[in-house]
Amino acid sequence: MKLAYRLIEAEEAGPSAVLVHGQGGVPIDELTGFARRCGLGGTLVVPFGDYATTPSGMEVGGACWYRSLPGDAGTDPLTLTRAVVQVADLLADVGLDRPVLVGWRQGATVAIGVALLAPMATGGVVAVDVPSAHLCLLPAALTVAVGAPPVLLAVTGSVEGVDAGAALDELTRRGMPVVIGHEPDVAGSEAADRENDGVMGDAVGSFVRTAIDWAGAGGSTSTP
Amino acid sequence: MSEHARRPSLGERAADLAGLHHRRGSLRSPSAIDDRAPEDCDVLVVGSGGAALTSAAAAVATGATVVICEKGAVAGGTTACSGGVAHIYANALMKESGIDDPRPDALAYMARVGYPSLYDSEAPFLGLDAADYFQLEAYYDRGSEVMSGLSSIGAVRMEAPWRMWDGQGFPDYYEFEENKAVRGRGLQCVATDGGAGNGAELVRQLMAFCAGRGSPVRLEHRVVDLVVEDGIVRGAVVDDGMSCRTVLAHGGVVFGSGGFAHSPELRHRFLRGPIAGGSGVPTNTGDLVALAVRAGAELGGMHNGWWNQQVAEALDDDAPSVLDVWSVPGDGMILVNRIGVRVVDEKREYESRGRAHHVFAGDEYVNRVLFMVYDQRTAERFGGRYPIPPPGAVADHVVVGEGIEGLAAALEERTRTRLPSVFPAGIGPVALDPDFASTLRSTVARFNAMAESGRDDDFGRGTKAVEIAFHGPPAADHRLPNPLMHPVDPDGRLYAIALVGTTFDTNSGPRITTEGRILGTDGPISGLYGAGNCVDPVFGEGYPGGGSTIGPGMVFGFLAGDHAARRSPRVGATR
Repeated sequence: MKLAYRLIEAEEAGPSAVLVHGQGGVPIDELTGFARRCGLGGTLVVPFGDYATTPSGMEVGGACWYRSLPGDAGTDPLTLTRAVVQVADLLADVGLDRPVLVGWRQGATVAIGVALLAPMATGGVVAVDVPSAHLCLLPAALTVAVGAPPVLLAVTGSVEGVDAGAALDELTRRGMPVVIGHEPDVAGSEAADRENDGVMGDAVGSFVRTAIDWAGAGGSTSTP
Repeated sequence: MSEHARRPSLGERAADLAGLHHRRGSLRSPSAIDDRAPEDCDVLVVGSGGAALTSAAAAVATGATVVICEKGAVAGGTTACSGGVAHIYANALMKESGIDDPRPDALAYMARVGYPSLYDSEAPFLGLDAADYFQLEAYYDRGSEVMSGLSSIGAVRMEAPWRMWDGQGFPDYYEFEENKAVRGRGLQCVATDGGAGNGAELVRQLMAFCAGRGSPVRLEHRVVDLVVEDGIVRGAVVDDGMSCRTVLAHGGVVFGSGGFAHSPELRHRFLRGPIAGGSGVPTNTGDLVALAVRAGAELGGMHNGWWNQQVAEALDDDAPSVLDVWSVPGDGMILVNRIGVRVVDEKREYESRGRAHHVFAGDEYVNRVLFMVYDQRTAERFGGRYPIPPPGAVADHVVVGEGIEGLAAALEERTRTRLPSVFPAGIGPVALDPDFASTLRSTVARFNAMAESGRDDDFGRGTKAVEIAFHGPPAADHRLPNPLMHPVDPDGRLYAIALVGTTFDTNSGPRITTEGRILGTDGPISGLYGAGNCVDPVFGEGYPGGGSTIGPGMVFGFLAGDHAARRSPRVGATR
């Protein structure tokens, strides 16, 4: 089934983006607000995974898009791969010019997978809180040596269990140029989250400019 | 009819990328034969859903050596995608709450739901075949005992009541006079936080119990043959993708391997009508059927399944976790067929509603596609509840039109262009009746009048507790007598979604005894057991309440695992 999505018109000049949510419901305003603060002023596309589990229309569903496995096994690799194919199809359908893919948690893994599957259709990946355990579930078939857009590995202090080092290793193994984002050491409070968000916004904004330069130069495998 | 070039499905493309080429199809040529000596165990369990893992837990609790083989890349089967509810009669929680669940009434309820054309309250065995009646007795008598058994061996506590949104126990799906306990039979496991656990949690706990006793689930291990000597099942041949190795099971082989919902071949062979595979895991390809027949099993009815509905554009035999339409959201919403008439109480639970697609009338399966029609208000009030997309979304599966004529024109185009490419064999094509728009206008007018009065004279919509349980609280702006009915505005913007009939798994296969032993033509086959969706269902064609799939899988799975373990000379106990 083709993904349902919401399209938010451009506010100003600037890169467009596809915002890929993680597991469970997230208010759309939070996703789009983050993107705007990061300087992604162009058209925004928010795909709705499967939305059965979120009775409120204000939320993006995702619990079924990424099927959870029992125990510590994490996420079903096939549901992740299915999401990758669906988002790649959506990119082709909406016809944006090399949008930046912003993903959270499993959504970050999906965004990286899409960039590997369709490198010429993406302008960069911002991977927020990607757990290396999810990243390792991306099949070997999605590993390419050249042509992958750069990835910003963004890590907030508010999510436990994120292993930036292992995620970096995994991305490098897959041949993706990586920029490391801010890694704040405070966590927990809402105020701290807002502060992290601001700092991350700067890092992402700077990354987005780098990504645009990278795409403009025809893509390069060296770290931007 | 012209041949359409078949495009790979989304699930196939994903499986291909993920390197899971062998996940479907039961006739794959086996891997190289291994020359290692056979592996030894007491019980070999096939599958890793609720039925398989419960039988494994019962077996390991006796001290038996148990090998668990799951052919999929992930554990848990369809149970792990589910709410993890078991439908258990006269259970301990009901006793604690003072809910009486008398045996004769419960048996009559199960018989009436499961065998509606045979049920006779005055006849011997309630009109049923004696063996089928004894299965119902065994289910009533041993269900609660098995749940207690799972607690006492330390595997899992099925002690959390399944509740609806207002805190009441989730009601059964039928309210016949025989049903003396409409609420209370649904049990879920107690999660680590003390709350109710879903199917993934149930599987996690059962897996942890088995793994802690030396029996982890072996993933991507497929049973491709049985070892049969003198009519006795001695073990099986297991293909791990690299080689085939024999596993000898001195007590027996227990199948909890699921039905054949995702085998198009077996669906066409055994089911009648326009039925597609639904939300069960794609590995449900009926592997037991051929193996059991070769071992001499007697097949039960092969035409039974757990029925449901799915959005036509979402159909995919290869994809995991594709959603069925468990309840149809909305109050200003109706389901109509290609003629434009209502055919079912839209707010009933999935299973009886899914059967509406099976009707043959006139010259055709006239309900093979049902169109879910709803208005702008419903789109806004219920957006985000699948399959109504969140407000403001672009959604390919939704057809939009202005007023009834506009919607009919848009639907007509969809039936010609997009739908033929998404229907699997046996569903399409479907064309709207030439008078669809005017018929739909009359249907909506009649529905609207009934919504104002609050009484659905055609299908009794909103009269069952289960409908209210699935619908949720009334919409905030709802002021009419029946919270599940609201007039549909025929002149504003209208939406339609094409739904087809699915089975989220079949429940057809060899017959079993009251201890989960698979029956041959001359009595039970020594060493061969089955439970859950891979065998003949205890409830016949019926679905008495939530947990009717997992409940019998767990109960007969437990009895089978225990019986098989004690049959092994190495376990010691004799029966």
